[in-house]
Amino acid sequence: MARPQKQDDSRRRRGPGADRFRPRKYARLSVDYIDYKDLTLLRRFLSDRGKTRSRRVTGLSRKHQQQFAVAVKRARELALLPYVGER
Amino acid sequence: MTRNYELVLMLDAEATDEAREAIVGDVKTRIEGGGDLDLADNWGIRKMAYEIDQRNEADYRYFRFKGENPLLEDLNHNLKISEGVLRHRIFKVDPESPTTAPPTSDRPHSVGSERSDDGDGRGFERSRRDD
Repeated sequence: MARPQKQDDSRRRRGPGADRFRPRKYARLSVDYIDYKDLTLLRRFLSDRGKTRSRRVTGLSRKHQQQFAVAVKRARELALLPYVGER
Repeated sequence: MTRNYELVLMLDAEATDEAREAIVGDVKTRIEGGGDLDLADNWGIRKMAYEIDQRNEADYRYFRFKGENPLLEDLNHNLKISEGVLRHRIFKVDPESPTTAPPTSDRPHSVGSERSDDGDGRGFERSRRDD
């Protein structure tokens, strides 16, 4: 997982699709484990309806997105998060 | 091989206190009999995100323990048939995972209220609509 941190500013890239917004490469997360009990953290990466957001949107690393997906599923089983959110 | 597990019990909040404590006591003795109980916590009565067995609230109890498969089967079997348990789950967890209780909020349905500014704005315009 130790990838050298690239210094690129996501909006500075030129070329085809340069006008497209890219989220920050990896969202800065100060935790090394995404736990199902940390609801405030989980909600950061959920939509208003309680759906998981894709990596493209959350900017999470592969490892973190995987942990996040498991955590959301666990939290839902325990009725800590809804399966179907309300508007 | 002993692993770290977490057991979350969702007890019927309408059951008597004695009945609930009896279940908790039973679970504790079972865990101590077949493994090591590391932590037992009471998250209290929380509103659930959705209804289970016509109940909107549950009394959440949390246990963190080390043990082996026979203990898990024993717990699973007995919790499945015991009255007053709305739901129970045993999760295999990372030894470093936190043991803090989930934050309580008045509105458990309010998903997305704490969203960060990550990608908000321009990023979401391009992302697929959610509904």
